[in-house]
Amino acid sequence: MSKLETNTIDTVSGTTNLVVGSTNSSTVTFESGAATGHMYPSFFAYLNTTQSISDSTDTTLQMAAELWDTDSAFDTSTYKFTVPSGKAGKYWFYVAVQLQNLTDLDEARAMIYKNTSTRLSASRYFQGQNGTINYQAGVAANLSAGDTIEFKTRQVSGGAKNAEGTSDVTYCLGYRLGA
Amino acid sequence: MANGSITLNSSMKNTPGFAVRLTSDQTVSSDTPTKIQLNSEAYDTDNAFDNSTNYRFTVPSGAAGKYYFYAQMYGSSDAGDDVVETSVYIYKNGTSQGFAGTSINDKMSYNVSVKSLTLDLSVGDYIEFYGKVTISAGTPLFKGQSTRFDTHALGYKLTG
Repeated sequence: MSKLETNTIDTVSGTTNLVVGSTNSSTVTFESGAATGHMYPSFFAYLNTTQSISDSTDTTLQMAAELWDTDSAFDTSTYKFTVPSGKAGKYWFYVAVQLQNLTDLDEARAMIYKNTSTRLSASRYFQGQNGTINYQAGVAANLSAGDTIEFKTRQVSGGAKNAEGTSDVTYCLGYRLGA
Repeated sequence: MANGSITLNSSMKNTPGFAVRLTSDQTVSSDTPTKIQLNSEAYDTDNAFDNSTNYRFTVPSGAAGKYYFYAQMYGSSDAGDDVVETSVYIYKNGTSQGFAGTSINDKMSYNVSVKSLTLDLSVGDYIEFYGKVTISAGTPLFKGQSTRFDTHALGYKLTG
């Protein structure tokens, strides 16, 4: 087997699609960690301070901190992910919320919205006993460049409740699965 | 390659992949795990999910490997606040691989259960999604919705 050493592989001028492997290739093997960019954009954002959630109100989770955001596509001031130019495709999103001091039969929802007003997914939980509840929702969506994704919660308890602000309990994530 | 694309070998893609949902209410029996009839596809990259007869994903030829699956079931009672418990299951070849359930004390009309799993699958293995709604009165339902993903499932092959 011969070895090719180079720094850049590019298409010929005027073309944009680079194919690795042809009629003889059934597997293309990359060194571990070398396939940079695959499944990007990818982000993980979280609530880094306690957020008060009003009663019976759909509320955007103010995920103001990030563990990573490969394409700077999650805005930590508007709390929205926006599909970057050239990155349309299928995406997976997931949100988890931890709410404190619920009482028996209070309701909690996690929701994922597209373009502000289209609710893609919602999960509705009821607390079976007094205490803290962690609830989640996920969805896969086929998105276009410029589409936005927003993560919301709602609780029905008769008063405001606090969402816990740490990266292991109240967070959202997303990544591109493919075209 | 700032504006171009690279065509990846199949071992580097997250395919096969699918996202499916239930578009109308499915009536079930109380306290009985029942296959969710996920009848509508948002996408199905390899036509590997049967959304009309068996409601299952089957690993296509050449696509063995590790897969991620997620299921979300919105359980309800048509009689009001009579739901005792909801659960959602992920089955492989007819056997449950795990479930998530919540007891809600017989005082509410609905609840959502969520479960995810990673499984190592061979060609021909099939995955189905089951739910269970236990009620004290009325008729138990899996709630379906044509514009949202209330009761839904998805899966995709992990690379490598």
